[in-house]
Amino acid sequence: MDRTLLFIVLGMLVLGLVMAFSSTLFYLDETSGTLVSQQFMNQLFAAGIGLAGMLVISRVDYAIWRRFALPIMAVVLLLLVAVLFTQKTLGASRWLFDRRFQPSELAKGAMVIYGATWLASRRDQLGSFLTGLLPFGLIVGITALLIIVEPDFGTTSVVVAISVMMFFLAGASLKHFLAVGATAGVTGALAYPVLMSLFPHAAARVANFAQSTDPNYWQNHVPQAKIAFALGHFFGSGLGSSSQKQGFLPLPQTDSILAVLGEELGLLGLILTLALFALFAWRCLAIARSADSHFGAFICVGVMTWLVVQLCINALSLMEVIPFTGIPVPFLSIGGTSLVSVMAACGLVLSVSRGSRRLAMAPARAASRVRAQARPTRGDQGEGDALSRGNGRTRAPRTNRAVSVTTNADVPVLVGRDIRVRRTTTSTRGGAVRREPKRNGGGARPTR
Amino acid sequence: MTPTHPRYYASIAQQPMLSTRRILVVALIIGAILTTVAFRGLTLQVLDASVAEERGRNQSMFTQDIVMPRGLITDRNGTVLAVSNLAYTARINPFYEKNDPQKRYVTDTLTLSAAVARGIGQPQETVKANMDRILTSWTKETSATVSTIIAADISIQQLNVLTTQLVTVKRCCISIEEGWKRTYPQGTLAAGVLGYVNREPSGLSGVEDFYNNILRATPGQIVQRGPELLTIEQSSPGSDVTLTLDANLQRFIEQRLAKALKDYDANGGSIIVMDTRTGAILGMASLPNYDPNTALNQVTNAASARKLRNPAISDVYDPGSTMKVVTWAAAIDSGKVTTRTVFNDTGVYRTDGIPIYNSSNGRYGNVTLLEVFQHSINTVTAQVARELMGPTLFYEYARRFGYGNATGIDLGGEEKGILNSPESPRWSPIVLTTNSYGQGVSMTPIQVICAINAVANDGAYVQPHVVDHYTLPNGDVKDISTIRRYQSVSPQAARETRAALAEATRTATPEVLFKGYSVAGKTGTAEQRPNGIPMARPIHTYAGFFPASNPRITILVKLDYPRPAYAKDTALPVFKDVAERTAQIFNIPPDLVK
Repeated sequence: MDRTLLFIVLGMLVLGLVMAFSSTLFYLDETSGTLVSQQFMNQLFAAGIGLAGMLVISRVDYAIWRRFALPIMAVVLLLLVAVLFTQKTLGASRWLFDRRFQPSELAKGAMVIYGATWLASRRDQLGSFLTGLLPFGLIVGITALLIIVEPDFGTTSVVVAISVMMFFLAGASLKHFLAVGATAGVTGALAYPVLMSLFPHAAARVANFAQSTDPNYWQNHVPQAKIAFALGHFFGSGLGSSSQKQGFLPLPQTDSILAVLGEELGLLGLILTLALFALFAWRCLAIARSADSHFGAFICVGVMTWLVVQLCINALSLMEVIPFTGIPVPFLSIGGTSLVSVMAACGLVLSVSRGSRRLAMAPARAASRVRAQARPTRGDQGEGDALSRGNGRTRAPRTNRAVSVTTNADVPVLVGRDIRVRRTTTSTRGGAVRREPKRNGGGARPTR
Repeated sequence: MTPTHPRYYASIAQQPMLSTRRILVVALIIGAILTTVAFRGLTLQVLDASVAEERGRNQSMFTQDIVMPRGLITDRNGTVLAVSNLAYTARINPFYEKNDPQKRYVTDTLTLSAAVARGIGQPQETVKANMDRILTSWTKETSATVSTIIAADISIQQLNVLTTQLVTVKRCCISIEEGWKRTYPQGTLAAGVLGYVNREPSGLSGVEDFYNNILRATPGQIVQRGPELLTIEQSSPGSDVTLTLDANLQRFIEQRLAKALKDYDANGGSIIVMDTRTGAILGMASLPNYDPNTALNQVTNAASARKLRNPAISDVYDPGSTMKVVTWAAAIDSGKVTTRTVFNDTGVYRTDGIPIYNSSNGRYGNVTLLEVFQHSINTVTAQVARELMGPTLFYEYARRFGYGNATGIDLGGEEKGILNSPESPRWSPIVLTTNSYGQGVSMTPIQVICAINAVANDGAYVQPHVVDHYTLPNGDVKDISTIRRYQSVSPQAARETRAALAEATRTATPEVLFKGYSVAGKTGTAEQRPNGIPMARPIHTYAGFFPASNPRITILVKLDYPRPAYAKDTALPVFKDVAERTAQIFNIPPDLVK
């Protein structure tokens, strides 16, 4: 397990709890005689659950999530549809179960797992428009559409950012990227008036954006956040002493937590927080690079994008760089669902850093299966599937010796560390020979 | 390379997990975004912070007013007559935030008004109507003029009920403010002396008015900017004022006065009980009176405010024969007459063309001062003033007895009456003639009793007062400022007049005497011509003091327009009851029982 990442995550968790304590101090009921607010206690409880969840997930072989990718995505999509039929609270239908649960929060995790699965299994077709870009775009598009109509622009952008980042790293064609970017730009410009008329609250936010000539300008959320930052200066006013959280800044414990942090801990605290997230991103990318499967690598990239983008969107909107959209800052904002799901995601990355035993053994199993095969099943394209279905075997062979692939009608090939069975019409000689994966340390190294 | 190429699969297999170049691109993108945030933070927090910082410092500045209670008013024994109680005001917040008329927060006044009505114990219809009125009339423009108060003067007990009720509904649309409410626990008792206060609260009459600066609390203020304390203005509660009044006596004389009004069909009246030596007012009752708790609601214009005056110090009248005591004391002091000087009363005194008669057209022949007091002879009194004293001497004495001058009693709203002196264009010799027996001069009851008191007090005129002392919040006791005191006539002249009056009282009106005490008193039955129009009935006065040999208590009873003809039958029995009770309460030693 990547200890560095673990410590970074624990650091972010502690920082989050400290800020949660500070930002909810103001809500303390003087008569209750307690030192901590109920909100903080809930957050502490969520942190406990999150920590346990993270450790459990980090010990679980991450390869099993491939099996659940499709069902998870299906359930999330169903929930996203269901949420549209609920009554609007605060102008949006985002919540289920009496405002306790936001399916869009789950959508980010589902998009990471499902996207990683999909991209890993289609890696050699990603450059294709019809079999790569188009289906992936459809999956992302449907999910994004379901979230945007809630409406929830913040989460939509996070989901899109996660998928784009994973798609890019998975090996998308740069030409496609430019083309899609250009198309999106043009479509966006054309559809902008329509979108704005569909979502008046967004139109109002865009219209209000940086309108410092408005006489009521300083009463708004973002200017109040700017005041908080300004009051913080370089060293901050000291932990717990924010004056902006005392009624001036809306939602100091959730959407505006960064402004409170900026006021209390100053620019120094803000930069250290950003540095913590930068370290997190660095570790995630490092783990992704040395991951023992594409699936794992994509998960790392997805989780990294999720957390960093969410932080940055929140920060930039509070700092009046982009129009305001309320999304929680990972670890810092109070909110049980958010904290638990973010920590679970970190657990996933930690699990990837440990490596997957199943994946490590997959080539050997697949090879032995191929050797003994009666009829390979079409569609058996992922190693998870190879282990579980269609081959009639329930136990994997014990041998881990190197697999040499001989020419055959159905060719098992190594793609990186993924094994593929491809039906070829032409017989080909050779094939890749790989060493047995190391069992100790964070997974196998690439052959080269 | 196509899949048909011999080294196709080998080449794929040799590819690393992820493209290093792309990982670098991603790292750069992430780094760039994070750096943007950091630089934006640098701009907002350090480089470009001044404007927003100034804003922030100012907006987090808040001022908290500290309101302390007004001082207590108690009687001489500590009975609380006026107190400030905690009271709460409930306001409705018509709009949710930023005064945005689009965001009306309160939509369900039915539920809300039901809760408030249960809380403050008022009918729901009233509360709801009030709420609806506020909500419809309150706009951004009218916010300064429309009051949002839905209930004022809520007691702590009511507040408890109210908050429990409000918890069940939307609590945030009702705000509660704490304040002080002036309360007069004894109701109408001594209302005229106490006065009343406005909402500020600032005294509008009586002690509340005169001692406003002493009773008033000093408001404090805390100015805070965020957690930082900028200034603290110390606040302090008002000083407690102790009256010379005795609540028991006050209650008695008010009840007695009410009974007299009923018995004699009088439409008003005043009773004043005074400590002869010090001028301290022991009781001062007037009818009709008012409840100071609700007085402010009755004041809508100047006319209604007049009704709330204290008649004992504000209503002037022609006191009548009572003032003969003063005239004769002055005459004796001037040396023009003695108690033994004999005058011939023919029943009429003609001078300056207008005849002066005695009441009931009495004719008493050769008389001395004793008979003058016994029969209340106008003719001889007029003769003494007109012929023996003359205007210069008479008006000098009149001034010394306080005619035409306010007594300076420490109550708001005192009138000084009218005395037309020879310098006045409205003066003529006949004015002097009538002035000698208390006609043609208008005085307040307090002026009358003070003049009589000077005779009782061995010729020393003392300024009347109702406040004994006040106690500062730190416990220091302060006496009120010096009492004015001077000789009106010599002690000798006063004693002689007093003796004659006591003897006349004993012989002519023995019904005023009560066991063990000698009493000296004089009736006054005076026709009134307010605005020149004669009234059908006269005003009756009885002013006197006891024990006559060593006066301790001076009492005045005045009844406005009672049915019986003479003060002897109306004011006199009231005087007797009051005197008897006063003697009991203050333990006055009787002078006739050894």
